[in-house]
Formats: sequence, structure tokens, C-alpha cells
Amino acid sequence: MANQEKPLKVGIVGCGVIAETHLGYIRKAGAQLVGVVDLSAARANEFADKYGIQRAYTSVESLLEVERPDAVHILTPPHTHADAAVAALERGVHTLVEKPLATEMVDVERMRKAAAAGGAILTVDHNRLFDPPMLEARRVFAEGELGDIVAVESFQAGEASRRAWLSRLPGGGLGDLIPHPLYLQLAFTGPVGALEAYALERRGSNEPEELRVMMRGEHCTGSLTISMNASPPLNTLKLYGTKMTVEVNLNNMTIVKRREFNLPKVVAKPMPNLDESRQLISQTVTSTLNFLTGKVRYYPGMGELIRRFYAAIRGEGEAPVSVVDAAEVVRVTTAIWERIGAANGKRPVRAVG
Amino acid sequence: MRAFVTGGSGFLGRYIVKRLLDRGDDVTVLARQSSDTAALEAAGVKIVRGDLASLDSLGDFLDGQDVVYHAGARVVSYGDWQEFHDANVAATQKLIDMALKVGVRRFVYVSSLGIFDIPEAGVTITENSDYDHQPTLRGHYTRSKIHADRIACEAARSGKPVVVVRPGRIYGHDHPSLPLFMGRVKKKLFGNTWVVVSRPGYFVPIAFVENAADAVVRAGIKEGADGKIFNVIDDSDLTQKEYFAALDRVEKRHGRGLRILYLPVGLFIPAVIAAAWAFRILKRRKWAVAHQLRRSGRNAFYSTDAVRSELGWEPQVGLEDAVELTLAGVR
Repeated sequence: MANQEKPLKVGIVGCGVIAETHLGYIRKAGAQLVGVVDLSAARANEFADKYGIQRAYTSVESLLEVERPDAVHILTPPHTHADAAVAALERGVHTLVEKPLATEMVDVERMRKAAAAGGAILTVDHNRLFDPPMLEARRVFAEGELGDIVAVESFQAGEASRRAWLSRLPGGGLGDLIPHPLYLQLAFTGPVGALEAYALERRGSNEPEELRVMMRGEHCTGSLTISMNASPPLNTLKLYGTKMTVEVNLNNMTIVKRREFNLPKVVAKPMPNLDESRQLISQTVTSTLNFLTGKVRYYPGMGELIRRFYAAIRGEGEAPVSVVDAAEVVRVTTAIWERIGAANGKRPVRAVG
Repeated sequence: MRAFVTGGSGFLGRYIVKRLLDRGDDVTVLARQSSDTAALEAAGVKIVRGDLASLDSLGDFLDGQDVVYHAGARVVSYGDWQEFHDANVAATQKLIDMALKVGVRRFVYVSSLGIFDIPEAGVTITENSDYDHQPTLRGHYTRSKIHADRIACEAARSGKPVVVVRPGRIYGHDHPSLPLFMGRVKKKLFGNTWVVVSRPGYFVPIAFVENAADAVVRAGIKEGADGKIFNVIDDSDLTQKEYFAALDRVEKRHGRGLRILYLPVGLFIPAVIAAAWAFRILKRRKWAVAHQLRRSGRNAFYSTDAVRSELGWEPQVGLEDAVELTLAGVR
């Protein structure tokens, strides 16, 4: 059995806010955390204090050379992912990178080559793909229950995080918010052939807070909306198929399927409403119970993704997210910033209508 | 050789400096403005005035040095975390970075044996044992020594010319507060009767200051020691019973003997647990004293194989002589 093998030796690179969540899932997966890295020794030490971690380093190379981990989680600011990941991949160390994989395609290419040279798995934390309702949506799509897919819509309302490195991120606040809705969408549209993007600033800032992207994918069309003003926060994904419409709500962790009922008209009319209510109520009860009993934690998709990443390292299954899919997200993001005038790493200073 | 010593006017530092001078080294000492350095200067030691917490203002004072002995630290029991961090953690990092930049041959960091986790009675502690899993319950000093040890060990383990020496409780007549080790919790009852909270069979992790200084200097000059880490106590097998028996023999030579009453920490554990719970409920955080008491109630064996085999170190001053010297110095 896999559990009886020697535990995987894992390192964390970057002791910022998301490191704690990774740490919880690393330990839950039965891996051994051999060390953490942060450019700031004080931050690495404080993280170590808090979680009883023994070894802390200020350089990735030191961690890699001294601890010889099997895998690392790169949790540094996005523009620094590539250097850290390449150092690990070249040494044959399997690498999970926080989203987005990179901010520029040249960096993606460097990582891809290093992974090939080192014979190591490279994957990215597109965690929401593995949240329970998303797994169900992907199953419905893959197994044809949806019929043919016609269109996909993703919507994300919320504030951008206030990270110190946001000013280094192409797209600024939008750049922070775009990865989740975009990779969710691309999982259904397939590779994007053409896109149009519109951005708008509303609050007198010189940075767009509203973004809408229309795209033509290999399988269907897609539309993506990000709003920093709409409230309350909401993350949804809608799939339109020829047999069914699916709405995933990632705030509430629900999936509602709307299908046709072959019944006399007087009964068929209220049926979809009743059916949707039933789905919402039963899933709300189940997910509340799961959360209260500790069966599900925050970021459940991350736990599943990490489990699959480690399984892939042991030769059981594929990497949870392929480099091709991860690269497509970076490529489309870059194309969107070009569309709205935020190319070359500059933030979009002017909305293009 | 040109040697630079931080903490060179402190307790262990003075003995390090003395050994270096005896070797014929050219010695420079970092000392605070307030430190009395007359004796050092009279012995031909150069003085750089400065504080560990503000090294940046001192310029490139390590230029041209061969070996740096970093024995200085903030060891007082008061002050906030930032002060301990600046003097013990940030300073260690700056000194190592600076030393490696100017290309010194070796950097010796004097750490502490108090940094380790003692999860249960009877554990063996080696150079690779875990740090305390709850450093925030160990007080600012120990926590800062854990952080600094991590920094020094990162450099040592990743192939830099850094050596880490971790002495146990150091004793000697000119120790700033307690010349002689008298157990972790002790009370002089009457006459020469002492209550020691420990067990007779527990090990005593102590090092006589001259022996510790010897180990530190060897770490600075021994070929091939780069990247090594050494735990240092005089005698791994020394028990409380043997230690106090030696004390008794020395005291008897000067008139009266010593009586020790042992109180096992275990006796207090139920009360400590109850108090810890009350503290946790009232103050909404863990009670550091409980953690430290429970830790001191666990016996630990400290292996010193590495320092003996790799530095060829043996304590030059035996236990009874060391105790005699210490008591003579105090009298």
C-alpha cells in the first residue's frame, strides 16, 4: 500500500498567507515537511515557530541541496515562480506552483524545459477545478450528460487581495483575480482561438475594476466577468449544453443542474424549480455537515489537487493540471492584458472600450 | 591568524580571547561602548566599539580577518522580542553574510544546548535533533537562539565555511549570575542543605567555561571542520548524583559537606497541568512556565561523540578541579 511506503519529502518555498493552507494538506496527505524557504529569515523562522517546523532556509538552492526533497510547493509572488521552479525541476524535484504558473510565456517555457530536462512533474495549483461541485461539473461534461457544450460563463465578484507584490503583477488587482475564473472556463472551452476584452474603471482610480472577456474556444464560446464592485462576493460558473444547464456556485459549494422533464405541461412547468430547490437544499445540508464535522476544510480542491500531485509522483495517475493547460491560462491572460492595453507587465492604466 | 571575537568581553568570550592570545593570534574584539575592556587592551587586544543590534553603522570591520568567533548575544532576562531578535538573530545573519562576503576562512557561531525539543524522558539528543517544537513558550532568549541557530546551520549545511558550537550550561567563577550549576530549580534550605527539583539519575548538561572555550577555538582552527555542528558538554554520562557528590567532596575539603534533597518534577505535574489550564482559560494563551517545567522534568542524554571524534576535544579540566576553581574564584 502507498501509505506504507516512505513518506514523500516535501519543501515549502514562500511562507506567505497561503503557506499555512498548503502545510495543512501536506501533513494530511502523509508527506514529511523537510523544510521551508523564505527570503526573509525572520518570516521563515516565525512560520517555523508557529507550526513546529525544524529547518528553515533563505534560499531555494540551500533547501534543495541540503534536504533533497522529492517535491516542492512554490508559493512565492507570481513573477518569482519561474526561478524557484526551474531550480527545483532541473534537479528532478517535482514542483507544484501556486497560480498563476507564471506571468509571462517565456517563463512558462523555461519551466517546461527544466521539467523535461529533470524528468520532474510540473503542475499548478488550479485548486478550484477540484472542489467537489467542480469535479461533478467536469464529470457531467466528460461523460456527455450535458450533451454538446454550447457556452460557458464564469463570474467573479470580489476585492483583490492587498499583497505587497500586486504592483509587480501584470493586470494589477485584475491580475490577482483572473486566474480562478479563467482556468475554470478554459477547462470547458478548450484552447482559445480569438478573444475580445473590455475593462472599465469606476471608482476614480486609474486602474480598471471591471473586466469582461468574450472568447471563442475549440469546444464552445466563453465569457468571463470580473467585478471588484459587485457585492456580495460571488464565484459562479455556468455551463450551457444541449441537454442540460449547470450552475456551479463556489461560494456555497453547490452545483445545480437544470434539465427538461418529459411530463404533461401542467406538471412540467414547476418541476425544474422544484428540482433545483431540492438540489440546493440537500447540498446545503450535506456541505454544512461536512464542514462542521471537519470532513471538508477551506480550499477542499487544494487538498484533492495535492493528493493527486503526490499520487502522480508515486506513478499513480497523471499530474492534476497539465503544463499545456497551465500554459494556456498564462497565454490567454497575457492576450487579455494586450487587448486592454496592459501589455509588457504594465498595469492597465487606461480602460479601452 | 587574525581572529575577530564578538562577545569578547563577556563570560565565555574572555576565555576564548585568552586561548587565542595564548596561540599567538592577532585578536580583535567587538565590545559595547559600556564594556570595560581595559584588561583586554592591556593584553594587546584591539577593540571595535559597537553593538550587535546596530552592526550596519560599523562598516567593513571584518575585512582581513581569518576566523570570526561569534560568541556575543543578548543574554539578559528582560526586554521585548524585537531587542532579542535584533541582537541575536539579525546580527548573526549580518555577521555571517559579511564574513562570507569578505572571504574569512571560517565563521564559528556559539549557539546553545537549550534549543532542543525534549519530547519524552530518556531521549538522546544529537546534533541533528529537533529544535523545541514550541519556541514561543521558551522565552525570548531561547527562541532567538533557535532562530539564529537555524540561520547558522543553513549556512553550515549548505557548504559554507561555518561551524556551529552548542555548549551546555557553562559555569565558572566569573559567570555573571550563577557561577556554579545548582540544578534548574533549587532552594537553599538551611546550612548547606539544598532542595533540587530533579532526580539523582538525571544527566547534568554542563561545561566548564575553559573547556567550552577550548571547543570553540578548536572549531575555529581544525582543518576540515567546515559545515560541522557540535554539541558540547564535559561529560555526557554525568548524573545529578555524581555531580553533587563531587561538589560535596570539594566542600568537605573546605570544612562542611553538602546535603541534597531531590524533589522530582513529577510531583508538581498535576498542579502544573491544573494551573496551565486555568492560565489558558483566563489569559487565552499557553502558559510558558508549564512548558518549561514539563521539559525540565524529562531526562535527556546529550551525545558529544562528534566534538570528541572530529575536533579531538576532551575536557582539559576535570569536574572536581573545575568545581574547585569555580568555588575558589567566588571565595
